[in-house]
Amino acid sequence: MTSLIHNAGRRPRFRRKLLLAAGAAAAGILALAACSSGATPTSGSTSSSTSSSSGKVTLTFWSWVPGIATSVNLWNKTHPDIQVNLDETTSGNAGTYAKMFSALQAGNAPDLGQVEYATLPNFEHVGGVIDLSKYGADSVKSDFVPWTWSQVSQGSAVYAIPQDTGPMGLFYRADLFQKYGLAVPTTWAQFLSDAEKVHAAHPSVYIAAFPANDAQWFAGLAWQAGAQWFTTSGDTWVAGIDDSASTEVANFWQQLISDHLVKVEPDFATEWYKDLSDGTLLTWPTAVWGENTLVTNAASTKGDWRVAPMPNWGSTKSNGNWGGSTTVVFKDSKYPAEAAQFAEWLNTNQQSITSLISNGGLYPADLAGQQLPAANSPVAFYGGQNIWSVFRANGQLVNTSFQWGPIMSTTFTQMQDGFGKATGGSSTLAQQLTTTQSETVSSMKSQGFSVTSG
Amino acid sequence: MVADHKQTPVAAAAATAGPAAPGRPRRRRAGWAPAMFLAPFGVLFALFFLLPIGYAVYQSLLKVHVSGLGLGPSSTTTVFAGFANYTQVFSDSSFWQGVGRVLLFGVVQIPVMLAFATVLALLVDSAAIRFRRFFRLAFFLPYGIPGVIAAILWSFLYLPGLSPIVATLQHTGFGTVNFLGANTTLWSIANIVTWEYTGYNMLIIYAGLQAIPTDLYESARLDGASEWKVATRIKLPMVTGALVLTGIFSIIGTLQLFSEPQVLRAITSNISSSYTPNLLAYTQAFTDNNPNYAAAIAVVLAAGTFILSFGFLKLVQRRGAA
Repeated sequence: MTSLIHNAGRRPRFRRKLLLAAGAAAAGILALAACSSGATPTSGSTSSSTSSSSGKVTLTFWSWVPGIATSVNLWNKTHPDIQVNLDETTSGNAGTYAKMFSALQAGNAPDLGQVEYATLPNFEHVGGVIDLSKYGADSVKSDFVPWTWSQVSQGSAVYAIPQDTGPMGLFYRADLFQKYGLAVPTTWAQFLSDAEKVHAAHPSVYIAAFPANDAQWFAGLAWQAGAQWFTTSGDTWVAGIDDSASTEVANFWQQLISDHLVKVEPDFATEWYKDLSDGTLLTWPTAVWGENTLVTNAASTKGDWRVAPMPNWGSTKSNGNWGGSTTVVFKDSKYPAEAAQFAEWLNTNQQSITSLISNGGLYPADLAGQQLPAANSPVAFYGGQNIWSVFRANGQLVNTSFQWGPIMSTTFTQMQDGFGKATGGSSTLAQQLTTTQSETVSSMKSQGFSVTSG
Repeated sequence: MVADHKQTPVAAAAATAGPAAPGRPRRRRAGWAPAMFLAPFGVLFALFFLLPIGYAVYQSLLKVHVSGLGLGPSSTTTVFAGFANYTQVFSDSSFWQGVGRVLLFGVVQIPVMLAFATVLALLVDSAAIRFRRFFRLAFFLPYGIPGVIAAILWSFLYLPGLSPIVATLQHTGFGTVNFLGANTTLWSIANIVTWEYTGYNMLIIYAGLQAIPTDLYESARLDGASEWKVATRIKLPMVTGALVLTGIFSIIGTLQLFSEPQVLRAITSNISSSYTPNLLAYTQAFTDNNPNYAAAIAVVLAAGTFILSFGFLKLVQRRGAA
């Protein structure tokens, strides 16, 4: 439909006839389809549950986790009466959330979906997800890392089953650190001096990239510094996106940007992958799942990367979390009990978790899953380092009271627009944090939310 | 979506006014037969044009109201908002910045593109050119490539680390050119759009040139007119209609600019989520979950496009009459 919006203007005359013809053809096909009886559930359809006469239930599941099909197949083999059709989608922010929101509006959302922690309140807000406490979700509560459970629940309601977490760490090029005579930074101050040292000697080399397009990355860094973007006080939201911790992080990166010590470029983009592969970028402060990103997109650097704990602010050890997601049951599901059963199994069954770790590069939110051999073995790509142990140790440091707001997709968009202006040179990151704060508060107010500035 | 209908009112009038016009002789014979013949068009027109516009207008008058924390199933209600969404559009600075941006884009890009298209059409039409068919097809080819694909192709030519253009300029002493900077991105998009649509517009103008009777050329030549004189005194005035048509198409297309900036957003942070009005509507509908506001933006944009296109037409017609 996006192409239609644009093309309509440039080529109206001829296209209209085509569209009408296509419309007529589509109508004909629909009519034919209606005539042919015998409802055959098509795999990969966007509609929700279908069921045949034998009592067999078929559920639809939208997810983008690489290799999650292995877990789904395992379920389908062991649960002949509840079959799950997996629709492999693009990642949430790349369009799947948009699709989910539209499907919810249209009343034809799938039974199950992949939703990140940060976006979950958005789905709760539109009333799109089912309270799973009615279907025994509380029985698995103790299986999970406590802060993940507090992110999926509101009071007694449980809106999702946690799947994985994203404790952060510093991925760095051990070979190049040695070549340039740098020490792996344990504080952000050292990170800055490393940046200055390497860039002065090698102008085409940068300590890291600054992705102005990725507010979630920045959120992880602010989370580490002790930011508290949203809290609730009774029935009122308290927003503090430009709190002192976030401002400190913004000022730090602003200095790196102003001194041209970081490469300003979008992450998860062609040029960025190239820079990670060819030694332009020496580090990537990211979450545990970044492990898989490097293996897939910087394959030529096998053996060169290692993982260290995140640099700290001063002497206090701390950590942030970036991403991690959950499995939700959407409101349109005709079989919420069966869907809830699958969601719980997917994220607590040890065989399923093993597959999610080794195929999807996920770090489980399930406590027992974190002890599995798959999450404790050396990884060849990282020169045989047991990177998991770094993340497990530093996962304990994650500030567990960090909370997301109800319209995070709007907040992230506002922040990204603002950071684009800052890196374009017409403003600073800290100024844009303040702008984001006031824009988010006014967006929320205009919708009727009860909200104050913290 | 909404903006697609500005060219149909004439057809609509024809469809409804035709058979039952009063005062016509032998009215009785009309009966139901014309209605039957018109029905397929009428039904599809209503289904795919009138209904969606009506639905968009209806949606634009609603608003989702949140209470308290806004979490959970019963915390939101959809209420009638009157023209509140429209008031918001008119006071939304990001909307007006987007409008200003596409207008600036259009003022520069449309004349450049149409000038190219006209020159190419005249060249292809002139007797001096060999391989006419080949050139006609070659110039038209970019139009056959979908806008999204074209933007992806060009993005590789803009990325500093991958672009052969950037590398060549660097090696020949022009310094580092940043095609995706805060002030250059808009013109990089203009370049893509020009590349895509020049051939298409050329073909429309060329068709106009082909329709000129050849005896005009013959008499001009008898009067001693050169090729240049024939082009400027006969050909150009005779294709004014085609130029107006391409001008209107281009204005409409410019106001609806969407896929090129949307694709380039992945490689530069200098394209905001409200870069063009259509991008703003998209963000509102699919990122901010506010389809009602998006519908209002779409309706305003459609009305604006309508006014601009017809304003342009009136302007040109008045000039033609003077």
